[in-house]
Amino acid sequence: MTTTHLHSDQLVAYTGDGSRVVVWRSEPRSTPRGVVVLAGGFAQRMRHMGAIAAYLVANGALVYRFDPVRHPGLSDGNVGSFSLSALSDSLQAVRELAEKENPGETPVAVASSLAARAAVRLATRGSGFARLVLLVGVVDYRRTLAQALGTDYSTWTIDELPATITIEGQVCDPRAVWLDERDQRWGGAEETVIDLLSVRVPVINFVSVSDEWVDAEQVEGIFRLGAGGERYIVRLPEGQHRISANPVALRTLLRMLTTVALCPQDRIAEVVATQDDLPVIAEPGFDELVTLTVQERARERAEAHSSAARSSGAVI
Amino acid sequence: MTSLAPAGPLTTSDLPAVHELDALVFSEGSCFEFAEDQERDVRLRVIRDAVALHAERSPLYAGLVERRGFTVERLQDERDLPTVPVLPTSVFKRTLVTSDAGGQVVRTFLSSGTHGRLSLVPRDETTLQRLLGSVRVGLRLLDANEDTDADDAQIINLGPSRQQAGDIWFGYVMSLIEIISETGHYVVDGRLDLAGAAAHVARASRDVGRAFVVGPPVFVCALAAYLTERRISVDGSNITVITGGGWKSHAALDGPTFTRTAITALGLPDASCLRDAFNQVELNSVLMECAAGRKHAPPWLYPMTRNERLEPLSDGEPGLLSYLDPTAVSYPCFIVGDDLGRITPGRCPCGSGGRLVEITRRLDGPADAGCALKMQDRFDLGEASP
Repeated sequence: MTTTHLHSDQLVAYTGDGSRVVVWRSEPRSTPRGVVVLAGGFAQRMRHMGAIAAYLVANGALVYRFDPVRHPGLSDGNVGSFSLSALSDSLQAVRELAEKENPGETPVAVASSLAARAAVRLATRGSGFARLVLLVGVVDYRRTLAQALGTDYSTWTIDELPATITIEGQVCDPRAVWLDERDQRWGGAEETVIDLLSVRVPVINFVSVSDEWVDAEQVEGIFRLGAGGERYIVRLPEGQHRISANPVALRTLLRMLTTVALCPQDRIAEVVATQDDLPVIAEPGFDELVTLTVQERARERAEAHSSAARSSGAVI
Repeated sequence: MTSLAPAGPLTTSDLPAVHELDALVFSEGSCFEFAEDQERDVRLRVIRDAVALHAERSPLYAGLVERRGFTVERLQDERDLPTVPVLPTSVFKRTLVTSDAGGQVVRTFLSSGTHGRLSLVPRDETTLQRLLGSVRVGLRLLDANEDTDADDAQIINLGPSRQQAGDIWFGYVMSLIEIISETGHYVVDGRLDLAGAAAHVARASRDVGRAFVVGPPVFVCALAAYLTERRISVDGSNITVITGGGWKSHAALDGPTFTRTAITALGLPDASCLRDAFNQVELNSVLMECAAGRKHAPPWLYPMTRNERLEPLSDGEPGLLSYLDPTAVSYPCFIVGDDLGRITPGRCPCGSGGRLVEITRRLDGPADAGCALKMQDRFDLGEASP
């Protein structure tokens, strides 16, 4: 039987307001080379991050991934009241859990799309990420939302907003998004530059040159201006925002991502510059990744049913 | 306001370009929507690259290319594609045809024949990924959710799980559909669990937005008979049946009878909910039927027909079906097989692109065997391809 080498324990972290964040922790077979907190973007559940987790774990990382609160998945709340702050609070809760479980280890954040913006904000508070590895990391929240929604609702008044908006097939309350954007100043490019100037740790962003939601040239401009520490951009010559759609391209990317996430800090520049000469890394195979996808989907479904039954008081 | 003066270095680099073929196989949009000339151009380019690769890496194919005096530079136009040397699929039964130089093969698959020698086809990671990409592309013709995991869909696979299929190609390919959505596999230890499949079909027809019944026609018929005999009523308005694996194992089963039986027992709205898919172990792409009942080659694949001397025939002329498939890296997938059919000229009325393949029947009678032997002889003599 085909087996997957990635085994995950289910844990719970709690946000400041007591919401439950469901976490899958995957350990490598030997002593960990590092601790990674892995955050998916909007509508990406932790099971969608299985391939990245498998690469990282196969190469020695202890990986924590999670479903954010107020987001599709196993954690508390409904995506209808999604906000970037809810995602950020979830990431913070999981980071704290990882630190608590691994005293003396500062986790690396690997964050995709919208979660990247949250990771940058958290890193400004000196709240303990050793480096940020961003995958199609959003740097202009307003612009990305406008691209995804076809309209820049941040220029509307709250009374003008529609009753609902649909992002990546998920129906959300635009008021929650709008108020959060205003109150937390997630903003556009300028706010990200301001945040990045306070981030002292290395930040690496993998960007697609044909990404419809994250403009690669804009990322470069923002990273130049926001160079509060080492900044790296790795460009993917093709591909849209959903990089995982092309597994052959994704394989190349994951080799690089795994290496920059786990290498010593003083080697990041060399790895980025000499990518043709990457060290050989362990790679999960085709069958293993297919099996992982199927198994984790089934696990999520079983957990969701179990949780629903508990909520309704049924005996399971 | 915080100063915007730069305070640290920025280093940039570029990952290698994605091959045009991968951009096509894994495109997020429908690659069946190309204009005809655009499709022809891209197909020519990706096939030309693949022929060059295998002529370099596969000793057996390199020998064939040399005997034919063929050079890749000849491929200037789609009309040149029939000159690409092809391997009769019988060769895969006699020798391991491989282009793998570096131990990249992860599994060698076997044909599912029950008599005679089996074909052996080695596949590496990229070849398997592209096969899966081709499955996804085919599913777009069903208007199926191409996302990796539709929550509101279920699949009833009248075949083994991937684990149980092992190296047997047919079961393995059918089982890959589990990547799309939650799947029940109903061939366990070689036995079809009709009761389990029927219960799943009845449940899925009630509980989910979309259900797919996947399997060889003979198993779909067995399921239909089981439902009918036990008076299990199914409202199949959300069901699509995907068949594959050919008709050869059930001589009494003709197309119209099968369609009537399946529609009645599964409560399907109409025949467009029954789609046949085609693949064989030596071929690395899947051809899916559209709503108009035509099998579409994905845009990278060049199917054609040949006569018994393996000379290319014009579109519309019946003959042996032959394929130039650039998606295989670990072996040269330029083949002529045992199926008779024709290429339907022109564009499909459904609006989707891709060359249209009509599969008539498989060579199986004594006369056909003679034809196959002749074909094999000609290959051995080095006369197989013009």
